[in-house]
Amino acid sequence: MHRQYKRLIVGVLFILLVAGGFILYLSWPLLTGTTAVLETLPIDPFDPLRGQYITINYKIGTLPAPSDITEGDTVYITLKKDVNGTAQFEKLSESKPKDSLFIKGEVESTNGEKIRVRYGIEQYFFERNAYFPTNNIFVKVKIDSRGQARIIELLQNGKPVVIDYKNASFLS
Amino acid sequence: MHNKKGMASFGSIVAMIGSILIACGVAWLIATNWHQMPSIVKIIILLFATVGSYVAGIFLRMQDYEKIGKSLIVLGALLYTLSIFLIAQIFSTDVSIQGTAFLLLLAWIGVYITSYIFDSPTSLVVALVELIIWIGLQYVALIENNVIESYSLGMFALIYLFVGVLFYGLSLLHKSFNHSFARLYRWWTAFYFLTFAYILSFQTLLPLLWPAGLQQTATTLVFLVVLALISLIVAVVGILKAIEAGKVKPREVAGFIIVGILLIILIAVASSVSGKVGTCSVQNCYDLKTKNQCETTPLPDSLCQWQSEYCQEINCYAYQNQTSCQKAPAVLKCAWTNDSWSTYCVSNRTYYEYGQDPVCSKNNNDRESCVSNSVCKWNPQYYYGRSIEKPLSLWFVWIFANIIFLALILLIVGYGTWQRSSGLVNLGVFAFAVDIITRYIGFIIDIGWYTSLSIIFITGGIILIFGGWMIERWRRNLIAKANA
Repeated sequence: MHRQYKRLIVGVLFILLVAGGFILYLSWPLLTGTTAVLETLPIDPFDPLRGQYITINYKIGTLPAPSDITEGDTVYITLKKDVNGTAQFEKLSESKPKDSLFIKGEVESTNGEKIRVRYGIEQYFFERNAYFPTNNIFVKVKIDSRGQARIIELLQNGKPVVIDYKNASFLS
Repeated sequence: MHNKKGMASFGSIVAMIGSILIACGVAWLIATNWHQMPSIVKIIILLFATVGSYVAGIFLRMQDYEKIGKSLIVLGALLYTLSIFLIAQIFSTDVSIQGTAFLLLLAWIGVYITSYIFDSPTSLVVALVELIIWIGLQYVALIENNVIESYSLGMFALIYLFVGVLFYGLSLLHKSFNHSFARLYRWWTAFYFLTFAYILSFQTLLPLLWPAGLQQTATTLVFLVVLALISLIVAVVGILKAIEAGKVKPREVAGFIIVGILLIILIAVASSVSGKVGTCSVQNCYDLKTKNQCETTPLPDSLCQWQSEYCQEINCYAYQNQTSCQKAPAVLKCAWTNDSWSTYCVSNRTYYEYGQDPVCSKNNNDRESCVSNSVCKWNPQYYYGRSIEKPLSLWFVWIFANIIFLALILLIVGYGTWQRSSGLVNLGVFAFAVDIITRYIGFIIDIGWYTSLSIIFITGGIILIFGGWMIERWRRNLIAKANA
């Protein structure tokens, strides 16, 4: 009997350790990062395992292709805030920049002239029956010192987007 | 989960279905109704539900409510897996295949290790299923950004074959340590190899194993090598330990090695039909991936234009008046048309069935000639063109695949009888019945349409009734021998 209790405690602690570590890893940029606002163009798909989400195409998601970049390369994009406070592309490098706001991405594809870069923040989840504007959307993110970004909220005209859940019920 | 005879009881199956239903219900409820809760509350709900299921399961098991206790532990494993995905949803993490593969890996690690801590074989089954799905997703993630020709089911087959080797090694390791999971691993390994050989016994699949020869990307090769090394090390250690403990006979190990070699030969031999089965058809503009290809490939009856990131077809509908329609490039064969509704510019070109056009179809079943013509594209799925003959080599490979599957069934039935395991005997006989039904359905699909369906159905019915009676008699004899 005593052994079963020990196993139970070890098992529960292990589960909490893995889940807790995962939550901490995901929260780190939100706890320590710098805020930036990025310009977007959203579309609307669905993930069967995780529910409804919008795929966000960032303005900094398509950039001029440097000569020596290939698919799968890690890149660091230095950002500079414009007069409206929106973070815009300044320069691309393959090594981590110092003393500036930058975001880390991976080259998804290249056609010789342009590259597509993924930053891991191309999706925003919400529940079913959600209604919200999809034009002129900006995304407020936090970026940590390694360039990892997490979404804080969606903005429209500088204000947080209010998601309206119509006809949502307990059984929907 | 099991009664004294080692069979799953009705009560335990109902309890297990109940736990799966609860997990699905919780997932659905959470996914659709938790927008009003702050993230921290969502996370607390998920962790409490998971830990609560595990704690309740262990307590009930200690109070001699074995079946319900085991079901709740499985529910805990499923809720933990869901929690990982829903926490990822809360933080809007990457939805790419690599992102999903990472989440599944995390879920697998948790469920696999807790199944040992809680000594739960049913939870272990959840972990093994998650491992199989993760391996597949990880392979697809590694080729996600590459061209479609890198995608090869042959590589998939090799990867999954080594997963089977890993299961066999784990089975022997558990046997040598007299671990309570040893029987489950043995049954799982047999089930896994039967499923593997069954999938390879489909003729449609064989040309897809190596659609572009043995061409592979470096990342997928590295993945295969790492997995193969881990599997082989576990298998060798398992074999040595089991021999040392006197838990395995050399002929069992020899049988396993022969099965493994035969399956590798089958996967390799499938490359002999690579490029010899498939349809060759004219590309469309969307198939042209670079600006240069888009602007220079002379597609018959088509005109392509490079938009900022993809190649788009210009069609006659773009010309909205009679003058521009008549001045459209000749290759489009545009003509101004009047019908009862309106007037518009329409193309007079001829449309062909897939793999039937006069330009490329002469290269059907010949990949090399097909891809050497810049306007053609190759598709290794022969069923797109019904009129395309299957080469003799495909029939030989298919017969070889089916012989291996039948040999594996007999081997497992024989092994089950030798080891007095009714579970293995039932598994082998079930696989044999599935094989007969599958081949019968295949026969109807291939030949049935050309002859009288009534004859096919009556013959099939007689075969199945008689075969069913024979198989059941065979199974009862084997079970009686195993239990003797």
